[in-house]
Amino acid sequence: MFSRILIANRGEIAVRVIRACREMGIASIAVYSDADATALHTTLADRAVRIGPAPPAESYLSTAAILDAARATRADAIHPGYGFLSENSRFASACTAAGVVFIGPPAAAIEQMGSKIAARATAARAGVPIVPGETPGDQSDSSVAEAVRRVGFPALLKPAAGGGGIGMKTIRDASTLMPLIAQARREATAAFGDGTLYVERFVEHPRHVEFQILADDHGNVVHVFERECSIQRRHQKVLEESPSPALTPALRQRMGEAAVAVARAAGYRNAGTIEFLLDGTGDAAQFYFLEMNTRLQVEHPVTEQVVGIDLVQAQIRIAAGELLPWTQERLSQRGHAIELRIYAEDPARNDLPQAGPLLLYREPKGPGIRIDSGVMEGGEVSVHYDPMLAKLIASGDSRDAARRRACAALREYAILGIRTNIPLLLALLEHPRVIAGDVDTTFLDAERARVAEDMHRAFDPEPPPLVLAIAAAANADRQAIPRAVGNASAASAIDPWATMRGVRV
Amino acid sequence: MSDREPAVTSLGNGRFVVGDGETQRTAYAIVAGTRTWVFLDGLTYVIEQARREGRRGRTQHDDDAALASPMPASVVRVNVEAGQEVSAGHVLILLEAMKMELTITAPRAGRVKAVACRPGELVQPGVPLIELE
Repeated sequence: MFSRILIANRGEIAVRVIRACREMGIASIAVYSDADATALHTTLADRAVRIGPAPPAESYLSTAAILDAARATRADAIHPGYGFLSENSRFASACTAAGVVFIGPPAAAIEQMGSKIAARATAARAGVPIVPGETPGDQSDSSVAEAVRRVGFPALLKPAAGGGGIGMKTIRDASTLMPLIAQARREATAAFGDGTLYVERFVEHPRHVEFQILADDHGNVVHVFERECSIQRRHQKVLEESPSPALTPALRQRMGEAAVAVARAAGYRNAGTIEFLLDGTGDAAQFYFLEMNTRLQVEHPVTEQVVGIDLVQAQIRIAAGELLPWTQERLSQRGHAIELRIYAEDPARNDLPQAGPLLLYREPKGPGIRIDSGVMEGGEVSVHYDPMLAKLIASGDSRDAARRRACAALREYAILGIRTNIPLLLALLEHPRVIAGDVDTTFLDAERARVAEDMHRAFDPEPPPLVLAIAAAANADRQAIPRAVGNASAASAIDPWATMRGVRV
Repeated sequence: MSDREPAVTSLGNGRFVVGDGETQRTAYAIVAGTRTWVFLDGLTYVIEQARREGRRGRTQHDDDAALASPMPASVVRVNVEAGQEVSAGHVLILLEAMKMELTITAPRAGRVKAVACRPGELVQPGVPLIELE
């Protein structure tokens, strides 16, 4: 087993990996940019190394800076988290060349499954159905436009190097084709340093159902069941759950077997996710391979909660050459888990990202509530990074129990200083179609107006009198503090020695 | 809660209890400059201290709000220069923040008097980036 693991990431996922290391008796090494010098992940790790200025390209995306930090701290493995360098095959190769184990798949598997063409060819070879699409070899705007016409409208444009919905555009007709190609290319270049675009036929009302797989170095591959991630806003996931309300046991078994077959065909190792589009529900539903994510997913906790395993610890064990801790027969789902992503964005202003200080930040607690967060009170939400603050994962013995638990916990989640999407999440959890589990990937964009209406009172320009009374009390409180500090008799009243008579010290 | 007058008690550290003698709820509040943030039942309220009036005309104020970045962002491109005539809706500046593109568009037709930013610059919210005549 490793002695020291360097975590090449920040925020909640860095914190998650640090905790896994600690439980396993492995020293953790954080890396941080100037913007994160006092961040939670920086201070929580056993050791922290500065790797550069705030812009990601000069710190969290710098292979050289990260490998320097690994050498300086004699780290024997690197966990890349998600985002940043996690799906960069050159980074994985560079780690291996530097004698540091990359906790993830082999570079060749990242490259193969990271390319949408090769990934689809792999799935097809494994006998798994795919949606029509292509990455034009000639990437000129006119050639990409021709490819769009070949797959047919509506079509989807995606950054070939991308993920997380960034830069993805839906093209409904020829009139918006050219401007959207230009915009998708700009965003792809800005986010991934690669403007190559992938064109795909757009399935109108699909569900997004993905299967977590794990593979060791000894030829064992298992799937750890599904996550339903259909509730997305502009192709970015907002709510994820497991099990999927759409799967029957027979369909689940077929999709799980397909996921394992794709992983085997890719020569995959470590943790990965096979994404499917699901058309319809029940035994007759059709599923298509969409893509493979060759890393740990943001939404991995819902799997951990219903299967009762630790995916990060499993990743570390696999990377160290150990056997998978379980066989397929020993894995089962129990109860239900729902994850909600808490974003620093203003739902009343078109989900505009927010940056600023976390003046007050109090996480809810209770049975079945798990919070994976990378922030703390007094911290700053930086303009440089993703606006996700935390994930709230609610578990219960049924879907409705988990949903109610999530609602109650969100009502206690006090965050002041920046706007968050919590009012939107609360309205979402009370939406009849969410209660019924009747959602597809178009649901949130289509129902946004109704959800916004439901949460409208949160943004009423005239706050209710009770809120004004609380505000007045807060202002009175603040004025009272300097007086108390500057007043000798007030200070003596709270002198601990004055109240400790009879206490042995 | 009943119709009785609610009592707000500070428990310190931004925590408050609101009660009317029958039922009670926990709230959180904090003062930052001219803004007071209040959290009650999952909803967040921001109460702005009344703005000083008469400092400048309404049109100027509306222009300034429309021509400023809504959040800290970096300037990707400036599409206009001083002296240029623009129509309402003309995209003046392209900004980028948190992997998202934001555009600053002309709130009305007019002539650009001055451009107060350049590509690559990090701009702060509330600061007008263009002056319209």
